[in-house]
Amino acid sequence: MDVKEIRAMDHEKKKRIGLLMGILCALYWGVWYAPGYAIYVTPLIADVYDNMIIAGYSQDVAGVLQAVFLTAINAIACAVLLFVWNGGLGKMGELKRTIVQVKSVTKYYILAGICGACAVSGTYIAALFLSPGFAAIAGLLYPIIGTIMSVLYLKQKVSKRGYLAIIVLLAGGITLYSGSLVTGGVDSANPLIGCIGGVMAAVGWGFEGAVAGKALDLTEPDIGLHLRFIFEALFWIIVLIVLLICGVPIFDTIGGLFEPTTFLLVLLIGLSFAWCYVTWYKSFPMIGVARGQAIASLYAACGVIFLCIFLGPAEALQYNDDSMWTIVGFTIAGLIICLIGSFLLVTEDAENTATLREGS
Amino acid sequence: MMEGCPIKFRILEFVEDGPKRTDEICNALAKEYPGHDNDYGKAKIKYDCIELASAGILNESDIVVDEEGIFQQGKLLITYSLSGLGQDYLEYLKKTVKPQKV
Repeated sequence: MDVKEIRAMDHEKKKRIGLLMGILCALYWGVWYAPGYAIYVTPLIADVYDNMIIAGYSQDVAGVLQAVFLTAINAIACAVLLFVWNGGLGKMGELKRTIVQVKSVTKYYILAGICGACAVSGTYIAALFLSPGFAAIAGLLYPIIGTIMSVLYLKQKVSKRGYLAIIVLLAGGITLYSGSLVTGGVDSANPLIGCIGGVMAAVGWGFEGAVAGKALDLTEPDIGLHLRFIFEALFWIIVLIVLLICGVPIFDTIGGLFEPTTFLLVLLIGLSFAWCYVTWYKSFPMIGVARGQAIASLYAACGVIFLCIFLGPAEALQYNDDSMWTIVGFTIAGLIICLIGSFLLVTEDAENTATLREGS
Repeated sequence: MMEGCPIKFRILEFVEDGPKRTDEICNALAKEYPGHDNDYGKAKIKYDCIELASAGILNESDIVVDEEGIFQQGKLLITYSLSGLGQDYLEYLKKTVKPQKV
């Protein structure tokens, strides 16, 4: 085998690793929905809302504070579990070496953590005030912002086929969740807060990818995402402490964390979300931010599949006898479109991803 | 200047004075960073080089197959040099890096 053939194989392998990471990200993100929904019925989260109502806050404020508390728990769980991950990989030294470089790279991860905080809390708010379907669709718009930012800000190149695959994947994801919106519309007392949450999700994740992509040029992905979670966790801890000082009973349910079922759910949320981010960040240096985000948007399909497995199709897709065929039809159509988009991306020429920027 | 800094920073500085091959970079840096002077540590440094090249920060040239087992038998030995973007990044790092005691 000559050098040219081995080189072509290397490029193909690099592309496959990038795509595999994106697909694993979608799987972990999808499976995260199962404990993510289940945790809402635990006293740790459910009682936050009740406590706020008892304390005299409106339903809207109570809902937002509940989302903030859950996002904080999620971020802290991820940050803690990633110490185990990076410790196992022997990367604690690199974490120490990187965290002190605030001026050169760490500032980008502080920004990525804040963008991520905005996105995750936004998706919870959108799900709570509108519907989980709307939240998923709003979240799915993030690769559009991510692609624009990666081309304009990071100067990464995307082929025509890459663009086409991104558009098809997004169309598939949106179709997946459109059934519930077409049949039921949106029933909400305050849809504006839900819409703001949706915008926060799309803009937050889009900008996070671009900002993290910049820092990932100079740091290891495992370290980068850990820093991002450490800063997101710190951000939420500060927010929660400020709320506590202002007299909001935000920590009243924290004792419930150590109840075995709740603790297991927090552990599952942390593991699935942390690994989702591990694979998300690892895909960026291999196939670029735009493709990485697009293939990860398969989380919409994975989320539907895992929710159907764990909750049953009727509960997962939220249909009744009248709306069943419409919702199931949209879901199947969305899954097929997602498969076509993935096929377009997977069969893209590996030379397009050999280097993510034009040579200089 | 970049000793004791994140490995990717050090790789950029290491290839500043001229192109270097995979084995030269990995062997030299593995000795500098504690816990890296083994196959796993060297593989991590090699992966960093691949990511830097993928990002367009390093240019690749003089690619040969490692038939003698100098580094990893049957795998490619690639000579890396700084690209224009890599030089910009290195200048940026020199202005912003916090030097470490080694």
